[in-house]
Amino acid sequence: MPNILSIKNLNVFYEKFHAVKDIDLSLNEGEIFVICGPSGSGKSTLIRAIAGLEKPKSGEILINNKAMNEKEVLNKNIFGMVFQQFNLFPHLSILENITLPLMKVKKISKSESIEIAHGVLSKVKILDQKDKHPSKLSGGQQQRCAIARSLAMNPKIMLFDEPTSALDPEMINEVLDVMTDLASAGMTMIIVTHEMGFAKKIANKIILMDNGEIIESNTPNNFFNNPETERTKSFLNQVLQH
Amino acid sequence: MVEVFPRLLPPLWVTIKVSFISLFLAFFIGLFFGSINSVFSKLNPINLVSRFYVWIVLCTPIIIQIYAAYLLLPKIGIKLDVFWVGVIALTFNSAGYQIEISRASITSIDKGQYEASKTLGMGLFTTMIYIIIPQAIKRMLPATANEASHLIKASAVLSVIALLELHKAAINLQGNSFKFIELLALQAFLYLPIVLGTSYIANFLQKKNDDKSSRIDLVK
Repeated sequence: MPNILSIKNLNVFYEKFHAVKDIDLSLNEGEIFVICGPSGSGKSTLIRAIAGLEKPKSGEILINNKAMNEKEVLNKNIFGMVFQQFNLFPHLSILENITLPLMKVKKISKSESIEIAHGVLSKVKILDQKDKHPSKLSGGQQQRCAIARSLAMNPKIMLFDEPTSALDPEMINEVLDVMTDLASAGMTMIIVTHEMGFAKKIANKIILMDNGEIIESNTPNNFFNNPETERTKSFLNQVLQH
Repeated sequence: MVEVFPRLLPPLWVTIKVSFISLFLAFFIGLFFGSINSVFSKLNPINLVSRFYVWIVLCTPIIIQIYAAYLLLPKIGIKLDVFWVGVIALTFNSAGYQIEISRASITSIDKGQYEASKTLGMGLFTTMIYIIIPQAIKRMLPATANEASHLIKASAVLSVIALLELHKAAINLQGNSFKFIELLALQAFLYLPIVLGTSYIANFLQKKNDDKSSRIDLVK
């Protein structure tokens, strides 16, 4: 599979604080990349910098071996971003949440936008909720709508920033199921998550971050059964305790 | 009493017109500068000018602003009917408050809304028009209703520049008939339904929005 994304020497600062330190990453088309790590380790900052939401101080982001700045990344809808807090537009119906960006950004006609919206909403199995406003939906349904909204823009890579961390336990699975479907459909994904069982099942590569650095980068099998570093062992001990 | 009542109706209409035209203009001026205020840095020249403007409006009495409009506009060559001088004076005053109301409402919108819009490829202008401002207007409603009732009552001060609105008409009638107390009561009675009507409309709009989407989003 061809290389779709490589990141070279990425550094992100929050004022003086060095949040992401010299990160190198490489991702092939169709791969699922999971980032885990304790809070404050820089994993969210990394995924937000990839999405174009944080301006890196230095480093390169290459899409299909072509360097791109944040502006190009955003304008060309390279990435679809799914947030922990869903960030749906509360004043619009589920359908309008999806059609508005299609019409305003991609300049697609209304009828065609509605068709695309119906397609992605049935993919995430909430087509029957399309006329409701987000506040009338459960957290899991809202997150699936947010996934559908990103998918509708036809991104090359989907980014998930802790997509299940704000959900009730019963709703986590419905979101993970949708993500699994996406993965089997061949979508390239980068996922920041604390769901270790899911990570083990879905990932092609897992990295552990701490203090803004990559501590370990491994296959899921080795990561869980035969970790290279002590830091990974102690992290896994903490998160797999229960 | 009964015979003077019809003579107060045309001035009552003037009061309604001058208040609502000013409110309408001030609302959009407020929204425009409030938006610029909340998305650009404090040192942006437009923001510096609008901060200074708000500061002038909030720190001076409305009667001085009205006299200033009346006396200064002709000096710079703008000769208008006293009604439009009144509109300019009230708009000048109300826009100062509306800028603050818009700014507060827009800054209260979650930054996640901007981030989601950004990652969907929407520019700042599209984001403001379709995502942020519609939500902000909903939050502005209670404060704007307050401002409307303030403005209707403040329009009585326009009597100082001889605009024949409700209060000025009543003063004239008092001079002719010497029924001071009665006319005072009658005026008060006529302001009441406009102010109540305004707050009723605001409540209605808010309820309508409330049903349509989330409850927790409202300030009230």
